[in-house]
Amino acid sequence: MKEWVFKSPSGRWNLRLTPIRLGMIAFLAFSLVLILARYYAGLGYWSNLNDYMPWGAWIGADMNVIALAGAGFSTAIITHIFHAEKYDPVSRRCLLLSFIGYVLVLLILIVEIGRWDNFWTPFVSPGVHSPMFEVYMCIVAYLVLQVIELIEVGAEKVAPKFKKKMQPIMQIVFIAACTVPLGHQASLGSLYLAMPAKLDPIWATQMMPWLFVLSAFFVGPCVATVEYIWTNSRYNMKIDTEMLYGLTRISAVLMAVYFVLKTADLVMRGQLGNVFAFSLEGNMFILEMLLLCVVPIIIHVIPFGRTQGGLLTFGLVGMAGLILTRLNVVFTGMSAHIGSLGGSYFPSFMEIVSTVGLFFLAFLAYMWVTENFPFFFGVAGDADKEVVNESESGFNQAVL
Amino acid sequence: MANAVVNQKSVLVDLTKCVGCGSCTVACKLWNNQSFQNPQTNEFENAHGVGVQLDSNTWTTVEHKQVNKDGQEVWRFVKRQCMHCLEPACSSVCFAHAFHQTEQGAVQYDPSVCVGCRYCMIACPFDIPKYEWEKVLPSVMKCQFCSSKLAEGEAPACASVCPTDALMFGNRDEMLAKAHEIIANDSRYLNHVYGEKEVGGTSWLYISDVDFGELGFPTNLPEKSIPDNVHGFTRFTIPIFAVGAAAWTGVSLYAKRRHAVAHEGHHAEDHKSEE
Repeated sequence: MKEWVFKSPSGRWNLRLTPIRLGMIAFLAFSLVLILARYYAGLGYWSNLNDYMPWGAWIGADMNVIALAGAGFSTAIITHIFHAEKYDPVSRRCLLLSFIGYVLVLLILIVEIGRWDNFWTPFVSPGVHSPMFEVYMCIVAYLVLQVIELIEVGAEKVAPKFKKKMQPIMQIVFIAACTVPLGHQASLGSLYLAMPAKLDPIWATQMMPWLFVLSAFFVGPCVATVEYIWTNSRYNMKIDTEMLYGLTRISAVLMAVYFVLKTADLVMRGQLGNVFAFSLEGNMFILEMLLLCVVPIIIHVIPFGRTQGGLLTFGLVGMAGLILTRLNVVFTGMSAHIGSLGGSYFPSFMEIVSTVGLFFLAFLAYMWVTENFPFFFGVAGDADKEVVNESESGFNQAVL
Repeated sequence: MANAVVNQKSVLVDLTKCVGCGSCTVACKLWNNQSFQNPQTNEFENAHGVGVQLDSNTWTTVEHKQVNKDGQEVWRFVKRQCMHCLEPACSSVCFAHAFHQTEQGAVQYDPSVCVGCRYCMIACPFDIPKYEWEKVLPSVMKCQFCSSKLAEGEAPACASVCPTDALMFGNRDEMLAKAHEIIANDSRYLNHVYGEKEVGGTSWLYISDVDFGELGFPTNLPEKSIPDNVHGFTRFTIPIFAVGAAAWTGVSLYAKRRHAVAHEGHHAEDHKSEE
């Protein structure tokens, strides 16, 4: 597989198909059929959502994708605000990852909402007191900012002169793109401030919005690390473990901060007893904290944390912890209340297939875009060589 | 939150007087032109009886409940419908502003702008809003407090047909005074007007001789309203953006300058070593 990961501005377009990609396309096609059927038959027929559990797998997936797509936001802050330029190799690809993540969120939402034909009404009939309004407006604003940033990257290949013209506004765009996600990441946490008597008290705290922002921020380097190692191995590019180790250090420090904040929150609200009550909620919470904070921090401080395998484990465990954190709020923390009403929920075949299918669409989009546009430093097959420096690869360092 | 309510109406439910006849549920169906069919199964369903549940077709139920009172099994009949909160959670969490309060305090739903996110359903502290799951373009369904009748000064359909005076309709402050008067003059009643303080107060008020928890009412509700609880965070929205943007700009300029200085230092050192 000795080829350029991206071509010089005059390069040809590349839409590579592999057996796995064909499989993904087939699955995606199947899921699209089910999604079309959902529009024809209604939500009740195809999903297991019900009056007791009106938010299910789709919302769970969205909460996670938005948090994981926070990788674009945290790596942008690290490289564009703190100007830690050594992390540039991950920031630009995280921008793309994040953009595709947000598009995925909107696609899932269009399947999830009952009145998809009314998606525009919040713009003309705004419910300004709703955290959901803030989530929606911030995500739309952030998508616009990301499109501008991506146009700049795309212009590098097709219109270098236009790219130069964009430079004066880019600094403002970067600052805005680092600010707006604070709004929706926090608002996602504040969604559940409306259910103080329903959500289990382990999670139901006024601190939820801040904990959501913090965890979305520090999971960014985890996502970036996993993506970097996975892609660079795939394309046989050099893996800079020293750089990744520095990146995971930022996560590890903030994980410790998160651990202290959450523990203080539990102590102040007198909830420590519930955590160690050997209940479903307590045990799931302990598992969440182990995966989100404790295990990654331990991996980071032992020598294993400097190796490629250790870095990958750090990233995967941190991501698993974040996913569990969000799912615990959406499902575990609400299960006792749903049960007390006599309700129950488990995602239907259609809910699972449609979600997985749309995830495949996102993976395919990511692979095809990165194979045609300059998102990676270096070239394919250079694993044995030094990383090609920026000017040689045609990479402009001043951008995401 | 801006409030258009000028003449807050209320229904006081005296649970000791209800005999479970279900007249109110029938009046509700007739006035709102709803069928007695279960929306999912299309089978006939009563809106009063043991284990009845609200659904998109059924905006009020009278649940027959056998509960323990002073060591004895007794029957109690519990009317359920939207409580019409003074500060409604559904309205405050709706990002398309599909809910509003009428002058009489009825919490009304406007399907024309509803996006169908179902946040109102999950946010409602009483789990009242139900969904038309079977429809292609569904709406949220719940009691509208017969708002057109209220606007004319009439009682809602359910209260107007109650044969035992278990449902008393009037201005909220009068109903509240009446509730306390009944409790004070009769030792059977618990000294608790349900809905007086729960989540900031509700239009519908209940008095009972059996613990409200036993009857299926949520008893862990805060006195603070749900909109207030959410506002505890949303009031930081503008400050977050202002402080965030200012901080990022500041840090960015500082970090850039520091890099530039470090670079100059580097160049100077290079220069020295060359010499």
